[in-house]
Amino acid sequence: MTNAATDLVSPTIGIPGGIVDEQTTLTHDDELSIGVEVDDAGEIRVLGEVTIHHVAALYVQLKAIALGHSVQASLNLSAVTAIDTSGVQLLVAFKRLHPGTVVHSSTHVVRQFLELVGMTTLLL
Amino acid sequence: MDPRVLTEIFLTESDELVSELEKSLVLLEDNPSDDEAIHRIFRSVHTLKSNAGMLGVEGLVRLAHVAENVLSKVRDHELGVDHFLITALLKSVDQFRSMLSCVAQGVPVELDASAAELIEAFTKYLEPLSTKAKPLPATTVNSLRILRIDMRFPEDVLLTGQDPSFLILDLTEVSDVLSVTANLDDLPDFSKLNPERCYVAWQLVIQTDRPQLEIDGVFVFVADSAKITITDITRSNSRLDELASKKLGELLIDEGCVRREDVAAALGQQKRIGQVLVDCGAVAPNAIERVLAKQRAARQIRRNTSIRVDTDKLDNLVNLVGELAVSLSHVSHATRDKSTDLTARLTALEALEQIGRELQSQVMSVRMVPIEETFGRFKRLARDLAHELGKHVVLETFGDDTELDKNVTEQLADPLKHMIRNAIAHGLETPEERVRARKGDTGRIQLRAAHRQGHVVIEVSDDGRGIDPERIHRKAVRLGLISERDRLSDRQLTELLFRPGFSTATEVNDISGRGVGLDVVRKNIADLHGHVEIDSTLGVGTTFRIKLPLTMAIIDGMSVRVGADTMTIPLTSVVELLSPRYSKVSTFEGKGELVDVRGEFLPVIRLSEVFEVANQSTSADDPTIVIVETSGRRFGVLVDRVLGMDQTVVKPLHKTFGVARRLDHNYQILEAVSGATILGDGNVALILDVPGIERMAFGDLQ
Repeated sequence: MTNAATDLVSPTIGIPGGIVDEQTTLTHDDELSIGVEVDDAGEIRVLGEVTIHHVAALYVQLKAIALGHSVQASLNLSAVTAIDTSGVQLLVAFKRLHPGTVVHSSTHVVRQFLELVGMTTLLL
Repeated sequence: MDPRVLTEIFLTESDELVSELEKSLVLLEDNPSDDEAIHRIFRSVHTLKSNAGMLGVEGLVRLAHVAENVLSKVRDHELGVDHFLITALLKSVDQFRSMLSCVAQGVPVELDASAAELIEAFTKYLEPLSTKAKPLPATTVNSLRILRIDMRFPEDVLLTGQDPSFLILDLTEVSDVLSVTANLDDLPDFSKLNPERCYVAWQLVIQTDRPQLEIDGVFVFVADSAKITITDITRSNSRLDELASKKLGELLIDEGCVRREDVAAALGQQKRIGQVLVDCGAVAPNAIERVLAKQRAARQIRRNTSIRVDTDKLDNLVNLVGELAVSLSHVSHATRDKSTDLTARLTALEALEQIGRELQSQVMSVRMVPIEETFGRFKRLARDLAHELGKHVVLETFGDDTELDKNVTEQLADPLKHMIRNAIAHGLETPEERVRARKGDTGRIQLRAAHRQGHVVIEVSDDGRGIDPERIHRKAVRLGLISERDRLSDRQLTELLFRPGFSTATEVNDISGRGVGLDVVRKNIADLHGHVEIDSTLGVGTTFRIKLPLTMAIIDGMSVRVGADTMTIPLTSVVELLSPRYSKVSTFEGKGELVDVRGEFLPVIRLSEVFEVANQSTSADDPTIVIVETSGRRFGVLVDRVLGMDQTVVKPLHKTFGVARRLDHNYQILEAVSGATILGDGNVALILDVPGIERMAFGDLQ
């Protein structure tokens, strides 16, 4: 049976609670940091796994950033290596806090997961 | 194609479909085994839905879709036809009409409370089908079906290592996932978020041919804690329709992008262009309302004026235009060629005139439509009213193919409705009364149409209790319309029923009921240059007879001169001509001038006084009294001279340049004129409105 979502996702490769692609898994092994950082231009970059194991810590970091951030934030998910339902919830809630936030991701991992769970509008 | 043209076509076709639907539903109720009627009904609803879908009329599509599902069961003999189902389907006809009216006026089509109730009622007819589908009988286990899956999880599901995304992933193994909709309505504000809890619910639509056990197996580990509902929607497929028909705001809520209250707040802020212009002071509020009212009226008129034309009629027109071109060429040649003698020139001209007359006749025939559609809509009215009043009624129609002007058929609908309502409500007896009167318990109403002597005659007959002239007499005396001593013929007495106010008596009986709205009926018919009369026999029944001109676009008129002006009196109103030389005109105090017509004194109106025209009659003029009749009243109209009789093309007054301007200063004069026409010499002649003159001269009641 054919399915667009199946074609996009590599279901056999992943970590508990999340889905990653082959390329990202290789970099993940190289002690990729997990967390949130804000660069000089004010862009918020989310790094590593955004899954049930890390969302509590990420929530605290995002909350701290949210307090002092402008309403026109930019959220870069290109360095996200794994994501699950809890991670998407967290990002959606953050985006709702600043409705003008632009969310983008240059890797497939986030896009594929959002397609699977019907929440692609996070990237709109 | 221009969207406006598309909308116009849609409205025209939909009107026909809805009329067909209504007619067939009433027939089906009378004969529930009429398979052909069932197929017609199904086709009408299906086509209506498809057309509405192409135009994006979502509300109509949704209602038609559910109705179609019910009709599909009727067609497959899974559902029987009864009074309640027919009533629900007829109510959907009303809803369709109301929605089409919105489309015509450019108003968004919304599903209101009554439409939602109808959808719910139809859904109940479908319920036995869905419950039957749930156990999935062995023969259908491997058939391709569409399932809707609703998933809601306990908040701590993520902490147990069970991410709902795994279930969706598993579903992709056993089905084609057609859509995934995440519901984030319960997601709290960021500040109140517990990121380890699950706030999302999902709705998926999948298509599969796998056994149900395999689908159920996906959820085996969450079956106890999560709420999973699987519904077979193969037949209704309503979710897909819902997806297709939802508005942007609803979709954004479903996708979790915004909250419901945010959409509501945004909609609250949304302003229409008119409001924006008013706010910035570019236009006054009353100007917006005036222009919108104008547009609504224009849309309505434009919709009403569209007409379907038989291609044979168009072919004839094209042929005639071809002949016209040839004939014009002959005339041109004969006129320019000096060698052509006068006889040949006249022959060419006569040929041109002949083609002109034929062309006029053919063009007029294009406007003619069968009265069938107008008659057809009353079957529903009779059915509903009879049921409401507990009477048994059969409505029969004759002469359905009788053609008359499109405008006339449209304006005729209201008066006919009044008469049919009166006939059912007051003319026909109850079944018990009819049995006592040794009649069948079912009353009969007949609508007849026929062409007679250049007119259309329409009759509304009932075989009810008839009208008692004695009762009318007593009532007229009580109302002070006549004295106790006055002796009126039966016809004169029934004429009283058309008097405004005659029906306002508190006494509720067959007489008072007969008067309801009849004054309005007579006025509407008079506006169509026709008249209405009543024949009634006590205990046997009543017939209302309407006589109308075939068309309102061209009338037979009598041209008369009044001062320096030429005016036209519609020939339908003219009874006879009298010369004052030989007829005695006398002046009575308080009654004005009266003319003695074979012992009957009729009032005389001088048109020169009505139109404030200076008397410029010459010695050659021969003053004439034209006796006219309208609404059962005769009176004389004094003119300077009768010029002759012609077919007159009626032009609306506003199109005839300065005439309206000239009359605008006097509203009363405007009431006496129904239009204007352009004479052969290029001058404009007013067409007189005889009922209007009557109203001006005698008032409504006197």
